Amino acid sequence: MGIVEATGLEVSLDGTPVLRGVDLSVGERETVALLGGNGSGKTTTLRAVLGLVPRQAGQISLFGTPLDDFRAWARIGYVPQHGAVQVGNATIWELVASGRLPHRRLFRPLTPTDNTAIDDALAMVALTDLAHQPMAHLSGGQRQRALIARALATRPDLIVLDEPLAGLDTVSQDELTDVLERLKEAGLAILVVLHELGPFQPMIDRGVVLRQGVVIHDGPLQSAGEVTHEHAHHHDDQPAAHTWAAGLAREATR
Amino acid sequence: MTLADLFSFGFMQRALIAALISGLLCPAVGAYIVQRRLSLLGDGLGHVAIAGVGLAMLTGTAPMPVAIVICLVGALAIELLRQRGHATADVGLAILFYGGISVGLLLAGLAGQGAGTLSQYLFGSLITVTTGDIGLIIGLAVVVLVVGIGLSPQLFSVCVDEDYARTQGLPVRLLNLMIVAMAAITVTLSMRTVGLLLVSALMVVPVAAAQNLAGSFRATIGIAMAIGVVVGGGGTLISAAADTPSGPTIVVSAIVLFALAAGISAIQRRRHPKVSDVVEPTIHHVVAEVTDHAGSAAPAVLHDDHVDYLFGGHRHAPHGDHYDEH
Ligand SMILES: Nc1ncnc2c1ncn2[C@@H]1O[C@H](COP(=O)(O)OP(=O)(O)O)[C@@H](O)[C@H]1O
Ligand SMILES: [Mg+2]
Repeated sequence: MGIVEATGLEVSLDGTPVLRGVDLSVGERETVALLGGNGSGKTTTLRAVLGLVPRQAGQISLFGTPLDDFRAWARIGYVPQHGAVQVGNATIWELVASGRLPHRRLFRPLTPTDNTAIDDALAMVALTDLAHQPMAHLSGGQRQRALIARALATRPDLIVLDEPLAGLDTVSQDELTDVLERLKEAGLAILVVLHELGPFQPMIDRGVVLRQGVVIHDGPLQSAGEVTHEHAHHHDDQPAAHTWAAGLAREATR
Repeated sequence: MTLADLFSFGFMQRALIAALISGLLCPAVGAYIVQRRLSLLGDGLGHVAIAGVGLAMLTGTAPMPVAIVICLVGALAIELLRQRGHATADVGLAILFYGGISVGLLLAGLAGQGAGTLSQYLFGSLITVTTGDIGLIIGLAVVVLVVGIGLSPQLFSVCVDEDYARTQGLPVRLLNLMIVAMAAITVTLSMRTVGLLLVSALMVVPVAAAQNLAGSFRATIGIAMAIGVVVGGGGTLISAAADTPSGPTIVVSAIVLFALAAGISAIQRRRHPKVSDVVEPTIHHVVAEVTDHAGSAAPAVLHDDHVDYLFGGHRHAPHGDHYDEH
C-alpha cells in the first residue's frame, strides 16, 4: 500500500490549468523528491495532495484512504515554505507545541505524552536550547528546523516539505540534511519539493520531475556507478535559477 | 465630590465594571486579530455596529442587543465572503466601514436623533451603561473568554498558518468564523465605554505594547490583558475625575503605555542584541547538471546508463531568488 497515491491530478488556479494529469506516489519508508523549475507546479501538487487546493480531476489517497475520507492527519507532518509563515513573537516551543493539535482534545491542557513529543521534536532538530526564543529572532535555518519540529511533534509517518533548502546558507543546508537523514533512518516516508537537489541528493530514492504541470520523469535520479565527469564544464556565469532541475526542464522544452 | 463619592453612584460602578471587562476582553481577542494581520477588522466591525445602534434608535429598542446581532451578522457575512474568495478582504472592509457608519447615521436621522445622540456610542459615555447592559456584558464576556482562552491552541494555529492548521484536520472555517464572531461581540460590548469608533484601538494597542515586552504569544496575551484592565480602569477613573469622554481617555492611556513599552523594549534591545546567527547568505553549493551524449537532455536520459553529472560549478549567489510567492 502506498502512503501517497495520486493519479491523473488536474488542478486549475484562477482558471489557469496548473497541473495537467500528474501521477505521484510515495511508498513506505521512501524518500521522493518533487523537482522542476519555478512555476512548474511542485507546490500546487503538494497542496492538492494535502487537500489544500481543490482538484478538477484525479484520485488521491493517503495511507490507503481516499483524501475526502481521510481523517488520520496525525500521520502527516507538513512543512510549508518557511517564508510563508507569520509567527509574530511566538516562541519555537509554542510553534512546535501547536503541532500536537491532531492529538489534543478541546479545552484540555497538554498531556505528559504531548510534552514528551514536543521535547523529542525539538531535540530531533537540535533546537532544545533555543526552545523559548521568539521565532522572530531566528535565522532562516533555525526557522526551517522549527517548522520541521512542528511537523514532527505529531509523530508522523509521512513528512511533506516544500523547498526546505530555499534561502539557506550551506551550513544550514547541511544541518537540515542531517535532520532529514535521521528521519529517513527512523523510517519516515519523505516527500520533498526541491528546486535543486543540493546536499539531499544521496538520500533521494526517486525523483519526480515536473514541467508545466506534467510529469516528465519518474524514477531513480542516477544509476549507481555510472557517474562520470567527462563533460564537466563550469557554470560560474549561470543565473541562480540554473539548477539541476531547472536545467533539465529547460532542456526538455527544446 | 471625591472619586470615592462618585463611585458610590450605581451608574459609575456599572461604568467601571464595563470598562474593566472591555479592557480584559478587547486585547484577548485582539491578539488573534493582530496575529492574523487583520488589525482593521475591529474598526470595520465597530462601524457595522453603528448601523445596529441606528436601527435600535429607529425601532426604540435597547441599542446593545440590536447592535450585537447586526454586528455578528455583518462579521459572519464578511468572513464567509472572504473564505469563498468573492471579495478581497480589502474591499470587504471598506464596504463595512462606510456602509455601516452611513446606515447608522441615516437611521438615527430618520429616528429624529442627530449625530449628537449617536456620538455617545461612537466615543463612549460612562453614564449610559444600564443594568441590562451589565448583565449582557458579563454574560457574553464569559462566553468570549472561555472560548478565546480555552481554544487558544486551536485559534493560535489557525492564526499562524491556516494551511498547516488544515493539514492538522482542524475545522479551520469554523475557527475563523469564531474569531470574527468573538471580535464582533467584543466590539459591541465596548460601545458604552470605549465607543465604536475607538474600540479597535483597545484591541490593537495593548497587544502591540505587550509584543514589545513579551517573549511569547502566551505572555503577549497575558500582558495585553493586564494592560487593557489597567487602561480600562485607569481611563475610567481619569475620565470621571477630569470629566473627559471615556473612550478617548482610555485609548490615550493605552497609547501612553504603548510608548513606554516601546521605550523599554528599545533599551533592552540595545543591551541584548538578537541571538540569531547573522550569517551572510553566501552560498557555495553543488550544481549537478544532466546531459546525454548528444548534449541535449531529454527526460529519457535519466533512464540511460550513461548519465553525466557535473559536480562543481561553485556559485556565490544571494539566495533571495529562490522564494516563490503564493
Ligand atoms: N493562486 C494562483 N492563481 C493562479 N495561478 C497560480 C496561483 N498560484 C500559483 N499559480 C501558478 O501556478 C503555477 C505553478 O505554481 P507552483 O505550484 O507554485 O509552482 P512551483 O512550486 O513549482 O514553483 C505557476 O505558473 C504559478 O504562476
Ligand atoms: Mg513552490
